[in-house]
Amino acid sequence: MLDPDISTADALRHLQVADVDANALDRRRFLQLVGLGVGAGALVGPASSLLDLSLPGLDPTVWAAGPAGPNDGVLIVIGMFGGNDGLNTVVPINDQQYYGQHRSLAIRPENTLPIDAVTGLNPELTAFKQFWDAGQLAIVEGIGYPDPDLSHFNSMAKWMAGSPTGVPTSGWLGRWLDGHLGGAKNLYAAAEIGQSVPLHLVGQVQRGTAVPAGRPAFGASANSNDRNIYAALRRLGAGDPATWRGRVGGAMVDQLDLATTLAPLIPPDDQLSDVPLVAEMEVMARLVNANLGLRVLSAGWGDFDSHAGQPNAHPARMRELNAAVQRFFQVLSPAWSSRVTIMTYSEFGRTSWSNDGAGTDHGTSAPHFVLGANVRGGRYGQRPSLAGLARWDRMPFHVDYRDYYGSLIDGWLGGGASEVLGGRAIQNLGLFARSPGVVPPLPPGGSGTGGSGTPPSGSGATVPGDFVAIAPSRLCDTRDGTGGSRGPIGHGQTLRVRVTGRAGVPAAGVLAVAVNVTSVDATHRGFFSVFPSNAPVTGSSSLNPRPGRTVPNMAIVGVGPDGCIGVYNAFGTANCVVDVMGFVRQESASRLTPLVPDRVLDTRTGNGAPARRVRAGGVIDLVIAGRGGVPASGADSVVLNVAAVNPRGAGYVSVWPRGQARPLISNLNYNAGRNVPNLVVCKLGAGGAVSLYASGGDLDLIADVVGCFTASGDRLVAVTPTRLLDTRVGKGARRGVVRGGTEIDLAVAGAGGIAPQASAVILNVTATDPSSDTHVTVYPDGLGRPNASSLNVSAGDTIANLVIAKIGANGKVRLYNHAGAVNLVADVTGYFI
Amino acid sequence: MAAPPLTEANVRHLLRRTEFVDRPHRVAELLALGSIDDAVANVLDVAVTPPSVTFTAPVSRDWERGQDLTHFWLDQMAHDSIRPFQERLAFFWHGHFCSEFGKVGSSMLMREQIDLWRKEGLGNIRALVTTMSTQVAMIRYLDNNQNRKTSPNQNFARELMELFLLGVGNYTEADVEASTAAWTGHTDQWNDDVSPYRWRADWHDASPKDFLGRRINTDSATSAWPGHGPETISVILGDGTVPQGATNTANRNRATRAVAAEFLSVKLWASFATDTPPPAGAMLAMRTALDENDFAVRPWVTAMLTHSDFYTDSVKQGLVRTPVEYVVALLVATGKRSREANVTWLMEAMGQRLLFPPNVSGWRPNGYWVNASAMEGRARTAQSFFWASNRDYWTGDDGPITLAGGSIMRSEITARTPFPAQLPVLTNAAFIDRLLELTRLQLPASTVAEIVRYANGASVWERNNALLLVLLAPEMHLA
Repeated sequence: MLDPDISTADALRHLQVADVDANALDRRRFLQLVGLGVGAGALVGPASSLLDLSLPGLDPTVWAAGPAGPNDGVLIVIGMFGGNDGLNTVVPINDQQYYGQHRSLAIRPENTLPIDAVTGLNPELTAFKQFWDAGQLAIVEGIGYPDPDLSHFNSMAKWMAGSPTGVPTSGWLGRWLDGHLGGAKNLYAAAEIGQSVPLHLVGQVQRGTAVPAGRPAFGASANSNDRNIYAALRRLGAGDPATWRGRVGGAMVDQLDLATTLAPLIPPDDQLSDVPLVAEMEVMARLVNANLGLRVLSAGWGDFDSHAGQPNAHPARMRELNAAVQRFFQVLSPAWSSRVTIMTYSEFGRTSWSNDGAGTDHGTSAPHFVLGANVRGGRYGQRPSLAGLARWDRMPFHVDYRDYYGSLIDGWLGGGASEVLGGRAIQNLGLFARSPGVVPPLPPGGSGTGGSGTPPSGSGATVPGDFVAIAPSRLCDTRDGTGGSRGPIGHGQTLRVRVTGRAGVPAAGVLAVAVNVTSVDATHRGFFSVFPSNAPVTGSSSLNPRPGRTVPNMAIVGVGPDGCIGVYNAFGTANCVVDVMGFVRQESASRLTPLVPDRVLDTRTGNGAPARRVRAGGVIDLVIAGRGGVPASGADSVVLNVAAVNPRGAGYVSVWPRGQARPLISNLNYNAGRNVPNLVVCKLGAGGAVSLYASGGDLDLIADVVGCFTASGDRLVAVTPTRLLDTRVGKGARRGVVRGGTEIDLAVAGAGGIAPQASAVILNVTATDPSSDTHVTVYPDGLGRPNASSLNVSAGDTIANLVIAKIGANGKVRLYNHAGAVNLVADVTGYFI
Repeated sequence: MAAPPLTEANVRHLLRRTEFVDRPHRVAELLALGSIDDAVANVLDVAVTPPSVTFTAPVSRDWERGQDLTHFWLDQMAHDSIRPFQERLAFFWHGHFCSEFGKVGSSMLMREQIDLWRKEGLGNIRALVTTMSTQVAMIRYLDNNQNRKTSPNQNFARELMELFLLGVGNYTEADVEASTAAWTGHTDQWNDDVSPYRWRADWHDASPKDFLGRRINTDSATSAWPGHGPETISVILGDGTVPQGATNTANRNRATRAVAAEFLSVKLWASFATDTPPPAGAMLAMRTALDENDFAVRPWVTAMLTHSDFYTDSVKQGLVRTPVEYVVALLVATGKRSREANVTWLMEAMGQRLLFPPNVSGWRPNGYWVNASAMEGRARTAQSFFWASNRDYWTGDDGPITLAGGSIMRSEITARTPFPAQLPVLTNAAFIDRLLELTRLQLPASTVAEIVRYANGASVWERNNALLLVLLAPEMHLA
């Protein structure tokens, strides 16, 4: 999923993205389609990289526009080096042979995490148990290969090579990479988190990248002399890649490219776990979140070679594995949960008989784990029988590891397993319930607690409801701890905000809330995703924080079963403020009447208020009842799009029902010289009016009414946010910028979970990097363009705004760009019916 | 076979591969000799009793003693050894017959093993392996202290054949089990760091076994005899045969002695020449040298270093410096002592730490070291050396950058000095020439031109950073 906040400077990066719906093509087929595999030397020749050509800056969001499509699966590969004792990992709790042979090392049934009558997980694997309970853990038992080799190094080489015979000169994922990339070079397709590239990521042509689990300590400085040194090293690094001098030089250039890209993504070492695997898997999650195009991430650790001292060593390894998986899902953006699968492997298992040194010796077959939101949970393969095994006997295997790999390649990485695995006819184990990117349905009884650290298990509300506007109030401010959470949201972290039972929102029966979310003190350009706390959100961006700016946007978002919403911060750290304006419930209340937008306030022209700029501290009372299609009576609340225009200082706008005390909330925040819009839902106060307050600078205010809530309108349905439009990749419309004075049509009815008979749609529209100041108007297709703006954005800026747009008779809305050239992105978050 | 000529290019290549660096005085010494054969003999003329490290850290801080050993060894390689090949060959053995400090858990035992490679490295492989097998470093590293008659542990017995002497496929599982039994009883005692080796006759399985086509342990009447383990080495390097059932069909029924000679020669060639197997000529010479001299090392190494196959362009351009070799090259270039440069902590980032091979198969050559993240480690290492050389540049009134015993005054680098310049201010090209002269490095003209180009774009205060580019130039990473 592309992050909306990208720069057009990375145009070359987009050469890698299909000029058609990215859903329909995987990268490999795309490369074949456009012939990059043969004719790309000039662009992606061996001595250069795409990064060289795309003017890398320190802006991480440039790299957020990676080439991984929304239906590309990401595979996380975890190696357990030394030979893991499978019997103490997936414990056969009903097998007396196990207790007789493993003797003092055996784990009693009552000490396991039981998953069925014959199986208990190692007691340390609590996160794995959660995935099992969610139906998202596959256990493949009895994996091995014919004529097993009991040497660590040979057996590991056979596993990594994906071939149990022959000289291991390439690896299974490396050969997958050969096909995936065609002839193109890409440092960001597969990576080992560690110091060197392991055999399984080495193909016949391609190889993965090694990324240390820490910040790049060389190559990412912004100091001009340092940059001159980097430039000199890049020139020194040029050379014939067939020679070792050329390869050394190429690796130096790669290092500089990687450092530039990774520096903003990776936290300081002291914020990473001391346990290497935990740190490595956190880095993996961050790399996935950044969408660099990585499809395979690999790490491994040990020592599992417990010839002796197993009672201490093995539980420690299991604890590390569990902690690493937990950390991974804490950091992983929910946007990616349906696109990531984790797998384990080891060079062999261990003997069923323990030795006298409180250990076990090299064995053969063993179970392994595959887990993730789209995995079909269950036990696969066949558990080896221990009956009659003597001291040096090894367990038989029942699943060839090539079929294990093949099931992952064909089920998750887009196919090609037979080609990668020596022409073998793969016996697909059927490990996946859904293909990558397909969001799992709400399980029966949907009991997931949602949020960080647990497997995603449900989606937002999909039940129609009525809207209740409430007196706006602040739910959360991480700067001062309002709402219970103090301190900025960390990099890749999710803030959970309780919305029910507070500030006039009922404790139960709430389907969705209308909130205004504001980012403050952001350290990086990035994005926030606002989503139901239990939802596998699909990567929509709600707003785009910027360093040095306060950026608001409204969101209408489903509420998780725990009464919370989540705010995910993709990059750096940022404080977050959440104000609530209303909620949606199933019982009857107000219903929306969507309107064609109409301007009801413009202080530049004297519409709705005197024609003069609003001064700091100024208040405007704005009568709305009876104007712009709002009935003179019977309207409970209105939906306005308010924009601050040409402010001379920084400040915020509050909107509240006229006649009430001004609340401490911000509906929109502005900075000098930048136009900012935001959607506002507000009850009508005395005289059918609302009041607007501007805290600083002096500025013009404009307001368009886009809907009103009455007893007889349409009901609101919040949906899991889904991307409908992205002109950067040709999703939903032709690829390419929308030029000034032109329009594009976007089909919405029936798309992205929107009912075909919907009357209006709630879109979060993002305008990225316009070439001049402009505004965007979203309106029903088939009607004349109204004098209104849905989104105001200054040149070079990226602004997101929530838009409620009436749907035209043909099921479409139309987006008009006023000036310059701009890319547009739209995510649906709900609709009215 | 024509002997390789004694040219400067050949001598520099020989020295870079055997003494880490082509030090100018050594180039001159060897060029004054009559032939490559004489030059190789000179390189191999190592000290009979090289010094051993004296630990400065107390016994209670064993980790620091490991640092003492690491610094000592790096200094030997870079500065102190009269014939650095002694240390280069010891480094090869350290990566072949691996033990690891973390698992061994004793700096004394690591010193004992490293000193074996240093003192006896040019001796006889049979003797080296026999001694190494009963050193407690190896007994602990490969778990032979867990190997008892009643509960065998195959780790050491397996690796002795698979990774140390024969290669996989040249023995059967039955051979591993027989050898495992023969090695039972050789164990250690944890609470004795001075002489921790123990022979436990009560753990020993003295029954006769078939091993690589021979009958071993036949003197079982004297069941307390600890020679049963070493007997397997004699069989492997003597009259064993690769068994019928072995998976490596190419070697079936061959003498294990010949298989071992080839296996070891491929490994030696990969460390000193290039990572593709030796051409037939060099292989024949090396294998014959081992066979005819009963696994003596000196004739074997001589056969490699005097062979014309060792001096081809593909070999000369065919080896990347390992991180240890790179650090030694930087120590030599900058004249720093290892403790002064203090880069041992960066060696893991480059992928290689002395005393810490990644696993019992040791380190691999070339491609193993060439990737973006290892290059970050090398860049940081070069930076450390640059800073160490540059330390007094900013603080001293006219502080010199001290390199390899020479110096450049600040006034030579910057036009603006508060003092009358003792020397004329150097042009960029002259300044970089002086850096190369002081570091005793030769770089290709195209590389020098790029460094001058950097200096031309730098301010007068920044141009001393050219030293970083010198230390980091791609040529510095090639052996």
